[in-house]
Amino acid sequence: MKKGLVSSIYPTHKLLIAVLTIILSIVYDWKFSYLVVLPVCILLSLIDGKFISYIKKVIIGLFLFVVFIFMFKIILDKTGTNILIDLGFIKISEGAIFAGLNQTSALVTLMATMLLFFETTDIEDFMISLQRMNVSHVVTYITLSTLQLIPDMAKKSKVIMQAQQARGIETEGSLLKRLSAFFPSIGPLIISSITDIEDRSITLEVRAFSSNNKKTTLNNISKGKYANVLDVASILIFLVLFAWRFLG
Amino acid sequence: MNTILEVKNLGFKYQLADKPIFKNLNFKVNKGEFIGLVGKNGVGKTTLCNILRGIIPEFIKGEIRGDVIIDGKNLNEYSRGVLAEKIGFVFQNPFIQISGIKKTVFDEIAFGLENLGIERDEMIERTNKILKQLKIEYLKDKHPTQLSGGQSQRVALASVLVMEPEIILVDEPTSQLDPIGTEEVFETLGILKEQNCTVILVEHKIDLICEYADRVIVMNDGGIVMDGKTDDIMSNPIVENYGVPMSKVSKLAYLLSKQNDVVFDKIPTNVDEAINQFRKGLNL
Amino acid sequence: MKKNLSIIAILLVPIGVAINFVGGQIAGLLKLPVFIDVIGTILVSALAGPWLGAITGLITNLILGITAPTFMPYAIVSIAIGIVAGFCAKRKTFTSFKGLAIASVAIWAITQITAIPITVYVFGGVTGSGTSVITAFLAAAGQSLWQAVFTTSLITETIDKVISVIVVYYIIKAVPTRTLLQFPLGNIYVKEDTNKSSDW
Repeated sequence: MKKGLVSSIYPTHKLLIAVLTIILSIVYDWKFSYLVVLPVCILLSLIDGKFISYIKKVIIGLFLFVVFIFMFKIILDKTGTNILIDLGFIKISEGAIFAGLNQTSALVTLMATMLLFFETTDIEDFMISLQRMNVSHVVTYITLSTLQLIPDMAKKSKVIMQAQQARGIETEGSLLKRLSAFFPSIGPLIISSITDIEDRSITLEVRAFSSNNKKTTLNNISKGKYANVLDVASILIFLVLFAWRFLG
Repeated sequence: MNTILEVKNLGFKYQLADKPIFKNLNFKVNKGEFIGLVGKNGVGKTTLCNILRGIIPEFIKGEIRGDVIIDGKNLNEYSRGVLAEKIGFVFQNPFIQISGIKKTVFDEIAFGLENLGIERDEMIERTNKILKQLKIEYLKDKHPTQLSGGQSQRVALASVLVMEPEIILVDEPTSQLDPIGTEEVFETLGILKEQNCTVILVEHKIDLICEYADRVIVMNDGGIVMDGKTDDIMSNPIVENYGVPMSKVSKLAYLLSKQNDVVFDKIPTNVDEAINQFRKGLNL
Repeated sequence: MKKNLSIIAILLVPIGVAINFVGGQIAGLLKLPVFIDVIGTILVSALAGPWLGAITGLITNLILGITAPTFMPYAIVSIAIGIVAGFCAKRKTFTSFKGLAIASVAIWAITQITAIPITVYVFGGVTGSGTSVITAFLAAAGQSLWQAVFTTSLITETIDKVISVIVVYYIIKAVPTRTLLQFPLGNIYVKEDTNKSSDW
């Protein structure tokens, strides 16, 4: 399957661009996030063919925050600027709206860029690119093993909970009953995971995990022709924009 | 003959134990030997494997005495990475012997080679070779956590063999497997024997030991009590005093010779030999 | 010693992170009014010390960040919890009920100190969970944003941390001695004499 435009950018380069953008969103006001970053990210997700799943995550992630932040700004508004809407019990002022936009600005950029990054990046590729930058294989191992372990343990915990229910432990009813069902549900899972560490550590040892040799990777990812150009260009653009904010 | 492993006056006591699990173990292993290590539960077979593989005292604490010489060098002079290339180890629990980070059996087998820093092309070539040798090519795209017990153990063996170790320790590989899984694993061990790998196998299924091992070491009560050719050791009813049953055919021949005065040249230990001996002894 | 610590540690961290996730999930399934999403971090700190606990906390938030980047700033809170729990463990607070009380207070306090400024400055008082309703209510009732966030946090975090610390205590009690001894702080929880005489 051919990768989309954003998906084919080398992971660490993509991350660099995302981080630089987030920094800019902190120094610029709301217009940067709302009028530049968000539309561009949505456009990129469209080009990459990931629009639907991306926009869902952005909305789910932002909705509560944005709604509540605006609510707080309106409730606690002391700006005294002209009132846009008067609902009687509450007055929505221009100042409150701008305060809300600025408060949510960096948040919107953080969500828009990082979600796009993870939407278009395979974590294993990301780890390979880190390992090439001499990041320890231990980091790769911990990350990938955690990502495999979470769904695995979640599945087991459900099985254990059903088993405990079958043995008569009540998982419904009063708060105290549910609270006392918590330990039997999670305890056995945690204890067996911990006792398994010994055998798993032997396995890693057997597979030369602690070898001092420089590690190689079976799966390969290519940097692409313009990777370095992209890097230099994004840093230059960042520096110009950053300087412009304070000098311009 | 070429000695690859030598154990001298080896003893070990676990951290919270009152007395040592064994002491004064002495034996040598030659290149290409297939050794069966047998004895009752708790005599220290697994402990011995863990010492040979450097897991004791690295991960499991206790007091160790004596020496283990591998390829002319003392065990504790090896770095842990190099030791992994020298000695391969496969143990009981089939489902835990995976890296936990790979999505296919192929990647899983290559994991050790990544850690050794083998170049990509060679990695692929060696992984393909081992898949073919152990006849598990059909598993290569499966997820490592979705294998049966027997399949898992064979993948574990492949993951170790691909690193081309000089000695392979196999500690009760079938104790948690069903009969089909056991059969599969033993088929794989048969392939190792054909290729003259140096193997130390701990196993309770005596018929299988008799089938594959050239030599048997019997442990009992803190030490080695018998050590010799499989035929000599396993045809000797004394082994039963040490909690090691004779194989079915040996037992049969032994009882026939004792109770019915049937004369055998020697007590057979495996099926092929038994057919010959019974033909002669019973004039069939 | 240092070296073998690393492989056990490497394996303990992912389990700690997964426990954080699963703890939260089970609390959700049981419809408990608490998050219980730091059990793994505290457990790793208790068994392996402050730094590994901190790493467990950091990774938990980074992985949460994959689907919800708003968790990333709170990594600071998780790291702080790991560090404080680890220092508590070194002082043997996870071996008695009195110690547990101290550990609960310490972990609760560090959570408040680190989380409230993030909630106020980065998120304008919002936490992204249903508890923001409480904050909104308090703010509407005339409290300042800081007061409102603190009161909300007081209500939701206190039971949460106490339960987490107690769960960790009982888990450590249930782990076999032989396994405990493999961890850097394992000796703290083992009653037997680990240096028996060696005349054999």
